Amino acid sequence: MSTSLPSQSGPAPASPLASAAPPSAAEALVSITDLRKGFGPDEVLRGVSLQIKKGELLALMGRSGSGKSTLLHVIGGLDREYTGQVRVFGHNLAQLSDVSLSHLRNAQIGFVFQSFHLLDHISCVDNVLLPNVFSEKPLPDKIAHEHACHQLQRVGLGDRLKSRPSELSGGQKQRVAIARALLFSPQLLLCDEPTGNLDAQTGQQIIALFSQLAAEGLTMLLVTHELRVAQAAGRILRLVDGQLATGSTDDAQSPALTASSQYPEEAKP
Amino acid sequence: MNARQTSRLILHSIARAPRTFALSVFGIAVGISVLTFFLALSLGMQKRVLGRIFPADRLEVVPPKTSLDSGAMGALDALGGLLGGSQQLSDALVEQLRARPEVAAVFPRMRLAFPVRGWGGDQLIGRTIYTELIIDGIAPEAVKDQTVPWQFKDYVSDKNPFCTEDKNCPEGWYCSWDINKCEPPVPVIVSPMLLELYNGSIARTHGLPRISGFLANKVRGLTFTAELGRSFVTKRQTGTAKQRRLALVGISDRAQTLGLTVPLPYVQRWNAEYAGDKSAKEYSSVTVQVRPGASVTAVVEYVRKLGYSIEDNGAEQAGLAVTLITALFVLVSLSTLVVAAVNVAHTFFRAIAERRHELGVMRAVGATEGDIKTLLLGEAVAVGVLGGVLGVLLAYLVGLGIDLLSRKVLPDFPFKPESYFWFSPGLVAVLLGFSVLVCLLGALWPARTAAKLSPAQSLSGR
Repeated sequence: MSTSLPSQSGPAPASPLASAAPPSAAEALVSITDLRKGFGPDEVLRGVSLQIKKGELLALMGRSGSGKSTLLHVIGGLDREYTGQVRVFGHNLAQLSDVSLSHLRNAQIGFVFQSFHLLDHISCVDNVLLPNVFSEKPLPDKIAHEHACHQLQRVGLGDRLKSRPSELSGGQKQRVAIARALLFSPQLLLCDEPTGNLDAQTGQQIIALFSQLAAEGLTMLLVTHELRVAQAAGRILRLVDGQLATGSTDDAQSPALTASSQYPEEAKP
Repeated sequence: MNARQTSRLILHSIARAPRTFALSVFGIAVGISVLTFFLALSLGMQKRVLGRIFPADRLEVVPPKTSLDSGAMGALDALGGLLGGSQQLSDALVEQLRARPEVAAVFPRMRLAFPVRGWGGDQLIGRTIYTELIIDGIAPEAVKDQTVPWQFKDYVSDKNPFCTEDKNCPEGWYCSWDINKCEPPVPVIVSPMLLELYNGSIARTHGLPRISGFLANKVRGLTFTAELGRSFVTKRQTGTAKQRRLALVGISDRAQTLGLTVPLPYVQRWNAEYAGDKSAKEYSSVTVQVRPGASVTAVVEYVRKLGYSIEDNGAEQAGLAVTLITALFVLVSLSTLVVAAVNVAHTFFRAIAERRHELGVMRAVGATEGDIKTLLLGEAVAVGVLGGVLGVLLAYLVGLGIDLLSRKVLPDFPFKPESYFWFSPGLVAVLLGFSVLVCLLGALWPARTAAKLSPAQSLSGR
């Protein structure tokens, strides 16, 4: 089921804050230095260094297994077993306690996943309210509910508040996930293959929504292997064999990438 | 965590897998019901049966015994008592005991020191029964708090009217022909045990009617005659025979176990007349009522220190026997609960494996390790509360059924209780708490494991 987004039509606008030049460590919202991460004997990230500045919409591309999701998990504080330094909002994540890191995620970082990760046994509005359950300073129930409804209306699902995720299409589920990620107006939105499970038209709507959020100043990291998604970003990074190869939107127009809308080896799920 | 939303989340989780939840609840309910059943049975037996036979808060102080097991001091005191009579139960001892803070009341008792025989009962059972009477006296104030419909007091007075026969006297009174004075019958109380023994044994074996509705109906005011100084057992005669009319006024656990109890002044006067002044001054025992919650042991020690003995009524042994049997059944019940706790642990481990993604999502949106633990332990508490309530309810219903069967099917026997169980509020509260504790213990390890899961691994299923 396709639902058009409010105040969104036509191609997604380019992010006004997009910049081809990488930010310096001083002005970066996210600063990563020599990040290494492995699973058993296999090293997935091999000395990644990266800065993401405030308001930037950054796309991270790479083949399957190249470490894109792992990098996103590390930035989001979901994975703490690594070497190197990861600073988010000035905090060295390795030095934060579980409670501090959880509160940081809760208040300032939003996640959008490829497979939505909604709780099927609760309604859409309850899914959106989930961060409030775990908040250090939860909003009063009524205000939180109003806020959740507003976020659902913002993504075009104002009429599906009480629906269960199982009653929604893929695109609608992803919008619920986005509404959940936006509940506390985070500073950083981390999206892992957000259109990976969506058809082209729905994917385009989600991209348009991201562009709108970027236009509002939200810092976003978009992990994708789809060029049409990456093109919405101001800067595109590529992970190759666990190392980062940087470039601008223009880089993405290179023949290697334009030959298809995705990496050649990638098979769209 | 937001408590209200957390509760909702827990309820949603439970509602999502009702069968799993129901199985956990069932396991706990079975364990708790078995435990509740045996504990309530034990409490019921102690309160409703043993408590009636052996009141735990009451001591019977008796003159020192000569056996050495009461200690060397006690033996010496006893010897002194035998030689010089210094350890007899006197008013001084009564006052000493009354002064103790643990003691609520002290009532001296005195046995008749000469034979008495009696006859009567035709009003109740249609024939006259002749029997030797065992009578003791207790201070009238001892039975003030008992349910005695007719006043238990000394009615003898110089102002009682002159008479030559019963019809000269007010209704219910009789003419005491040896002194030509009208007197009300001597009020008599009997113990519940005597009534139980009569109903459970004598009435059944001799084809006599059971005495039921004792106070309200037939027995109230039942009179019979006692002849002082005469016996059916021996031909020996003591003094001049005098007949007195006695009237049952009620049942009281202050009455002596096997015999009749009358107000103390009657016994004092009769003893003085038939057995000498000394017999009218020495008590046969002193009943000590210990304050609720006060230490019975402290009073026992004090009494023994004074050189007196405590009458062994078998309460300790009976209580110990019940406690041991209860402990055995409680052990069996606890093993059931251990199995239930393991079942809870297994269920939660399986649930965590199934809900790995969900737990990862919660961590991603800000749940701390503690929040994850709280959520899972909250579900365990729900299992515990529901399992506990159902378990207690099940035990209560089984208890009701057994009581009903007992009333309908079992023949009467001495001290047959209305209910064998005592589901006290305290017991129910403790068992509900225990039920929750068992579930928490069962879920603790799985909850810790779930909390320690890496969010990234949970989300990626790696």
